[in-house]
Amino acid sequence: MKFQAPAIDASSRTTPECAAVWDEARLNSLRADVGDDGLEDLIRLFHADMPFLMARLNAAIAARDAETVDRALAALRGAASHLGLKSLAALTVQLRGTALDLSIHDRLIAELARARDIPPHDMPQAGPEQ
Amino acid sequence: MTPNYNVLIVDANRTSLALLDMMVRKLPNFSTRLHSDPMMLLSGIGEVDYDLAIFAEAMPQIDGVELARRMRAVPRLAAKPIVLAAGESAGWAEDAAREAGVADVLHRPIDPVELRARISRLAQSVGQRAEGGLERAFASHASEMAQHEEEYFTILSRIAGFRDRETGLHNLRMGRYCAVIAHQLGLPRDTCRALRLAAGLHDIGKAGLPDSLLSKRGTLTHEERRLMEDHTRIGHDMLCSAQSPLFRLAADIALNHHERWDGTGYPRRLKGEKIPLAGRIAAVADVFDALTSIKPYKTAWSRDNALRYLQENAGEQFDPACVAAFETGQEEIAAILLAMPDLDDTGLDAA
Repeated sequence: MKFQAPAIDASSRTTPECAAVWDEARLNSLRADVGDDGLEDLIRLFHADMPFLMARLNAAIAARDAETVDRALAALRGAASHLGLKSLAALTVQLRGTALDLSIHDRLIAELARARDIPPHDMPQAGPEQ
Repeated sequence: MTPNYNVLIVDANRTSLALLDMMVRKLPNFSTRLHSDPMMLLSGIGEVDYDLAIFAEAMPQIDGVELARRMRAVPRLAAKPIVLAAGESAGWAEDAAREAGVADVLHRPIDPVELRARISRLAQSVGQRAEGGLERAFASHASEMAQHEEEYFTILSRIAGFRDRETGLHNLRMGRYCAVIAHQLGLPRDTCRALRLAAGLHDIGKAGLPDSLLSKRGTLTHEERRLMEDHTRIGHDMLCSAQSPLFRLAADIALNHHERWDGTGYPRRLKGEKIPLAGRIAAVADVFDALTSIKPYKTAWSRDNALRYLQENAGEQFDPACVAAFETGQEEIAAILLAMPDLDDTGLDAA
């Protein structure tokens, strides 16, 4: 099973799913700080890294190496939390300590697909930066 | 006079690394240097320099707290503040971090404004590197020159490797091993860097040997062996007319890296401390890399076996102090081996 990095769609429409996937306050704070282009670059980088991370995760699952699986999930959680991908961060917490099988991989792939679209600007804005 | 601060950021996750970089660079007069492999960073610790550092807490191989402890063990870096970018967990023990010398701990997701406020405050507290426009222009020129120097030496090392039919990164790895030994011997930062660059040219004299000799498989005749040993003098002659201290060091290494501590080496049969230190360091690094690489006549030895060989021959073939320094730097050596593998046949085909 090979993971393909999805195309990033910055001009996506608002979907009800966005609010479930992204932490709006975090996203707006990042947008205010690094700009639209910076945010897009970060999300692109995040997805570009996924094939490597998933390969490492699958190899560790196959080798029954719980420690490496845990470390890979922790790394994923860190990046997800920085980017405001709240549902992905929550999923990594759930998956830590679960049985070592490929359902971990499948659930992450499904969640990553939901993180493909960057929510548009019309999400509620956070307060101005001090 | 405007202060100018260099911030070293280490995070194994590239997304987090890029984000921290963007956040810090929004501060005027702060520049960043990024690292995603903490063990590779440690392997070059003799050359590491910064005004302030930010380390991720969770990283494979070594965590941010331990990295902080190692950095602060270097006298040159002992007073430089370190910020730890930690996870969300509230129960996480900050005491260990403080004890390791971490100045501040920030929790994920890191707030950009908070991060900048904290590092600005820490930078002011160290209050150094006040550089005016002219000094900054000079510093930037010097760093550009240093960058050029890196490129010349890396490219020359690769050229020397091709001529010597080295398929992989032998020359570059060996330079890094030399820098680890130099650091463990307590040599200054500039010397570590100079050795790393100059050692890559240790076998450049082989470019002056006939093709038939370099490509010969099997045992060399007495005459061929004598000719092969000449690569030390040829390399020295190629490099020694240079004015640049780096090239003169390279000449020194080319000439002396086959001398032996007991005085039975070549070309001058120098003994003990009569052999220049750079040559003694390079001898250890060169043999270790040859042992751990695949050669037409042998398989690659494990790191442990190669280290045992060095230890068994300390005091005969090698300077015991250099072998001891090499042994102390084993973690860094392991990181270099891991990060700079020789290309196998598949790799070459794909290129």
